[in-house]
Amino acid sequence: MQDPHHPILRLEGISKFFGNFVALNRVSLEVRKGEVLAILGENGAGKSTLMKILSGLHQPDEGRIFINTTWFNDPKSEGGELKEIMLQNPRFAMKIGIGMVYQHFQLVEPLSVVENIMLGNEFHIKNTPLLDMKKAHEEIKKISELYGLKIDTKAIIEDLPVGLKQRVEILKQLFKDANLLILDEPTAVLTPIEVEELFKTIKRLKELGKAIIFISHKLKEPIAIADRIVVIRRGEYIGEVLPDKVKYEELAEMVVGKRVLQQVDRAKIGTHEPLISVQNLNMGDETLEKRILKDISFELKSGEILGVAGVQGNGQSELVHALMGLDKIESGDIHIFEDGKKENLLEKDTLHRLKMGIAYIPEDRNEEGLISQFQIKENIWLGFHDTSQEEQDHIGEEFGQPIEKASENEEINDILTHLRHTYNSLKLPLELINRITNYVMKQFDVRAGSTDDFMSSLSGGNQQKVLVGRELAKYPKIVIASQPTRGVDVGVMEKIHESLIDMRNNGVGILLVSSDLDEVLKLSDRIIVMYEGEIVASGDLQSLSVLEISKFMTKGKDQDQIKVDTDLKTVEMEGN
Amino acid sequence: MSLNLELIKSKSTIETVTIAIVSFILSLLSVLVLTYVFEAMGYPINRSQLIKYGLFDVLSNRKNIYGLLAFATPLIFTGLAVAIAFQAGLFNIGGQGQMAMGACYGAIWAAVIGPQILPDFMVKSAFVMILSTMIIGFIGGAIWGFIPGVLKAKTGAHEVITTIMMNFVASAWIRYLVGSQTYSPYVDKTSINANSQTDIITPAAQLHPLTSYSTKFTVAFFIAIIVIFIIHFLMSSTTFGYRIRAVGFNSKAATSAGINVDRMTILSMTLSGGLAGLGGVLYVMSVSPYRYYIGGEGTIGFDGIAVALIAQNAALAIGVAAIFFGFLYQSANNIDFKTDQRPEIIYVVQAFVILFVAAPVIARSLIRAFRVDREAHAELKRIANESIDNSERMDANIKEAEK
Repeated sequence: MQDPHHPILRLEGISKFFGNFVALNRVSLEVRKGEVLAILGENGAGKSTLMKILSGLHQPDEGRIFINTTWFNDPKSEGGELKEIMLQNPRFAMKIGIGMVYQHFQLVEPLSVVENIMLGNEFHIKNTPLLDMKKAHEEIKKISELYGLKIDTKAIIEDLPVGLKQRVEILKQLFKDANLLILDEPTAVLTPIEVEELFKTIKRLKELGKAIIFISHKLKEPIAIADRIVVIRRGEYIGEVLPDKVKYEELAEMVVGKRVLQQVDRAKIGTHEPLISVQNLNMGDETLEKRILKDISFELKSGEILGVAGVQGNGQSELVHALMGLDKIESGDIHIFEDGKKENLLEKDTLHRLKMGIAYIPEDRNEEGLISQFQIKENIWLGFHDTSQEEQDHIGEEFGQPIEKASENEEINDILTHLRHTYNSLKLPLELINRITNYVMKQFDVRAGSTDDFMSSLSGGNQQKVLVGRELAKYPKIVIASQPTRGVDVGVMEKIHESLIDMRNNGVGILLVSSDLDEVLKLSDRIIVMYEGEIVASGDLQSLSVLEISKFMTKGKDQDQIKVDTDLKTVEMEGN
Repeated sequence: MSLNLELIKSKSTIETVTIAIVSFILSLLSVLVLTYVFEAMGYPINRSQLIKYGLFDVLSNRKNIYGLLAFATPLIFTGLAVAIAFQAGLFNIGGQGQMAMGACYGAIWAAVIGPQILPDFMVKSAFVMILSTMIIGFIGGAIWGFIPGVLKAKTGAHEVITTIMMNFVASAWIRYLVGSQTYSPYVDKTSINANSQTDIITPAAQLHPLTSYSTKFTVAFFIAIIVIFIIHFLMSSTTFGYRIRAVGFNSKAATSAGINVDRMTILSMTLSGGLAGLGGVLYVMSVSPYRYYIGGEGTIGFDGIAVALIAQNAALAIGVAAIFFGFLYQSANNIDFKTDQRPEIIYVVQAFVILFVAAPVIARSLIRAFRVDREAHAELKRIANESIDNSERMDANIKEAEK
């Protein structure tokens, strides 16, 4: 008889220290046969550290790990004893059968799906060193059919949307005979439909005898999919709950430690002036089918949040890059309005656009937003750095404290004062940088030792806070925010949402690109839906239902309800 | 690119210094072992002489100390040149050519063109001639850095390839300029081996030795020290340096923050080349007989890469690393003059140091081994104490149970 509660893995009193920082403090938990265990916690709660220990990347400073080797050798076998084990390195953990699907995918982008999956376990034509691609394709197709993970094995990874990349990651682990799958924030960038697909996959994996650890900072998903939920907070084990017996609010309180604000106030704005207008933007090949962006037209007005919904990889990133002047476009116009004047941005570089009052929150903080080898304050200064002396004085005033203008009272009468002036104008204004940094760190509760800490030493959530804080501290007229809350916890997400709404209420126009549909729905005054580089629907929440948006996101225009699409680009705002 | 990032990744200063020192000790030990191998192969080796004249004599003798500082001077420039490009994420291995161009142009200016076109009082003025020659040398090198910079920014041509090729172009171009008595207008027409050198530069542009101990120790060394501090200030405290570092660490983030990556690439390569050129021209101005001759720059340009590597591209550390290299050169010189041993043994030391610094794993594992030993000892002690406690407690339990 198979005991359903038979543990296959147990952690006892695991602690991990990084210098003086306690990442994990005596955490104990166990994983049982054929279950989905969710580990829920804020950013920086220690989830990732825990998983890195399980995958052999880190060694615990205290505590023991037990593993049921009988089960890991054959998930269908019964019984088996827990044995203490040292997971010295990732290779060893993989050999045991612990498969890790990281939040940041470990894929070789220019290689094909099959090449990525078989990496490390290549098939060879008998008695030769030649690769047997045919067999590899067959084997991988077999696995993908068994687990219901459909994929084009010949596709190149960099052409795939995030959802499929994740699928490749899971297949890669299954191909290596992983029996315990650890999914680190698997839904972070997926659309609701993709999440549903993922859940189906998880269920099938469970049916086929695999055990799954599902790491998340979102509350809804563990409730939907997990058999048990373990909550950790600030490196400590908080408790274990059963998803069918817990309320959303209770769980949120366990995770955050305080009540989560659910609704954000939204003031009614009197007049909406146009800020940016985009007309017939095309990007990519001249043939219509291959275009990355097709005839994009919309207008962003002051005091509104225009949400761009869509499955990731349907042209949103390219649209944002085109708006910022980071990617070349084929045809079309981008106009910006300033004091009633209209200026074409096409020939202007990124710097000019930033100076026109656009703040830019890039979708990938590590790639585009921050410099991890820089200190926090050096990162904060990024984007401010091109300001003149007068502009810096102005910025200084905005961050409290009048600027000491000792230099103005003195006359430039000798070489020494002249030299000092030159020196001052050359030097980075450290005092101002520190002031802005302190402001941002306080506003967004960035948890770090000091402003001199290196960016790489911060957790992902704190990095995102620095990025968003920096951009909003520029007092912009327009904010282009791409995935502004990617990988942050509930508390930070609330804070960022609040700030965005605040900006909107003060007349800032915000273009919000997010693959988290909840976020778009919650914040947007108007919504446009993108599918395969096209705007397939637009309008406000009165004219578009959530279900419709969901359908447009996944199917595009090829459906019955095209009615919503007509003329909605010019739909009047109805306030909120 | 991955190589660059590996090298400029900021590590703690203490670790860098420790690794450098451990590497030096390791390389000395390795060479010591090698001497036994050479001896076994039949070469006459005199270890006590090597140590005496290669190490102690260099550090205790004034003449030698000035000599090593003189050797270090051009290395400071080429080291800084490599480091600046590195900080911008570029691997400039064209220091050799840039330096040669700076030296050659500077020499031609100070020997032929300057005296021809400038009024007499200017040619006699040391201030005008020294400054103008330095500027010409800087520009000569800067052009040789600018070209790969533009190629990289505009066409994406990899700077490693283009700077290597520019080295060859430089040596050919110099041969054209000063290589032939028949064609070249700048060649020294008075001496016999005139086919490979310029005229002697005008006396006003010559930098004379500051002490009687060394013929090569001139004000150029102090110029080099000043340049180190200028570059340090430029890289760490100005917007220009900030932009260069931003581009070097993450060019995408720099782009989206409005930094013109192409422009910074060109500027940093130009500055890099200019510094190498300045090093070259100061070398010509400092070393008797004050003329440029083909090949006179030795391998100083390439050694700059090693200097930057050991200094981990930090401007201030480059001074130290260059002086260390100067020490090795002087040591080789000393062995050559004062013993019957081969000075090449010192270049083996140099090679080993670079090897150990470039592969810090070796040094680091040694450092760790010492540290772990101490920690393991403490751990053992703790476990021993605990087990004593445990056994006492068990004894107590047993006694209690017996009751």
